Amino acid sequence: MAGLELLSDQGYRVDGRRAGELRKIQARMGVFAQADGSAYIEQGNTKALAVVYGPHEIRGSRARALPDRALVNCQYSSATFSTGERKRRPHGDRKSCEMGLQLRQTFEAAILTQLHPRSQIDIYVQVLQADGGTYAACVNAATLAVLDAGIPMRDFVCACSAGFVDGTALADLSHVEEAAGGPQLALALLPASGQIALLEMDARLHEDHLEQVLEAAARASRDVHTVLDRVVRQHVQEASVLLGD
Amino acid sequence: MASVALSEAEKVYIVHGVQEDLRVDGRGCEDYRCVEVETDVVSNTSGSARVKLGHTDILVGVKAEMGTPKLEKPNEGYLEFFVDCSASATPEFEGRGGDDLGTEIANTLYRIFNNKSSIDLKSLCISPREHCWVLYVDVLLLECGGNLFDAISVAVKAALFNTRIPRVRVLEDEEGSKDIELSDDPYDCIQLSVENVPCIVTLCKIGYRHVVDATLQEEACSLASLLVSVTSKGVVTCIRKVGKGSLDPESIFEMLEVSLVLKWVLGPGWERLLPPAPLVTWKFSPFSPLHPTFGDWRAAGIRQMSLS
Repeated sequence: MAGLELLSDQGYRVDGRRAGELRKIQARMGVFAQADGSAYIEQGNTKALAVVYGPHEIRGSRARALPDRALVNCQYSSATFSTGERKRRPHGDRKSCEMGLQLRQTFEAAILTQLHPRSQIDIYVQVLQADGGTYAACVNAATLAVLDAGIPMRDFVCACSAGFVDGTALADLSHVEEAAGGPQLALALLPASGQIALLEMDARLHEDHLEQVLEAAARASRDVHTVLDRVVRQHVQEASVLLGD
Repeated sequence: MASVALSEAEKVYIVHGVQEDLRVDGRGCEDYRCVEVETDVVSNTSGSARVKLGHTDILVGVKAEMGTPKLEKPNEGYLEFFVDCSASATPEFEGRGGDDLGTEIANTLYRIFNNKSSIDLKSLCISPREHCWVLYVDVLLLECGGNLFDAISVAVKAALFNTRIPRVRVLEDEEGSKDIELSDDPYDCIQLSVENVPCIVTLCKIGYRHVVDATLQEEACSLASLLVSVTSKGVVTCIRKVGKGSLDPESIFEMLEVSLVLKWVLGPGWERLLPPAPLVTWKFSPFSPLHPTFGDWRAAGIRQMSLS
């Protein structure tokens, strides 16, 4: 975008953050009483809601049941008013289907599906406001929702996006930075082991810079993990207080 | 609608209780659950509102875009409704499962607004036959806990109340081509008057009595319902009977009278607490981690309202 400086000389981004700084994250678990697990997350201006149903019996054709593990089913939907330009269809278009598949891949790596054979776990993610980093916000919300549902996981799944501008790697891109057209990397990480559940990059990036961007994304994901861990502990504490322990 | 499995004994319990004017959660037949209304929740819309009625959670976003007026009404703007039944309400709404219910609700919304008095559409016109404001009202059903139509109508009314449409000027130059100029001041905007926007009151017939604001379990016991769309002045804009059972005419008149009394509950009650000044925004967010558990919505609203 001509005239818009993504990284100023003093090292400040458009919204005043530093290169490796995350946006403010606020999250809450257990927002809906009727679902098995639910969570809401706000990363800056990006707001995402995740709801988990399961494990339950396979809906639809029994033939899809896997004999040794659970089936993870994800749907990504973004509200028609979530983006600046109104979206016509909330889900069912190609991008939403692709995001759903990516979420499924991410969570199949983390959820201990061997414990629930022949059953199905549904993860529904809804984006209420999109301001960049929607995949990351969805993964973080879905992690909290799966934990709220009590489904055992190998580890947290923490995600963050990263970009590259003027020789510096930026973490947690906002919509303005994504729309500028530079390279964007989305990373989903299992923090304890450092394993990567999903890695995706768009646009051109020289291989010399790849390690720097990957490192920035991994560091940002670990920071996200710190925040999510605190949210879960606080939620458990509140719940145990209500139970009277 | 999201279905709930009830045993015969539970149905009998609910029906017998209703005959005695006592419902499962202790309400009377004409009592509403606690309603929570919050406006200005989504920032990149022209107006938005969130309504929580028991376990029913609705989010409405209004986006104002410029378009051409319809041929038969060249001096007016128009509203477009879209209802998305999200899969988070129930897994049955996954994929295209929620489309039927969504279309039904959207069609009902079109019908209740399909009259001259609900919304002043002439104020949405910029230049006749050429430009007008089109308000896209998008309803997102997050959680389904019974009584969808009432909650959705309140949410739509609150979102339209919260809508701020920027003021535009049409500049005409020498060749006759028109240029539309938006004002620079972000607070210089038009607000819609929602005095005559109707709210829906749904009355479900259970046994020999009717019940207002039914939960999912009570809806499963009811065979027929009457949807009445009524404004705060007592004008009825739409009546619909839904359900596979039948209603006799005396009970329909009885239900109509009840709904005309109940218009005071849904209509102007909360408007008094939301002053129309564009500088006042709700800082209260139930999604904020610091927010305490929900109580009476009026008390919570007054505690958190602030002037910006």
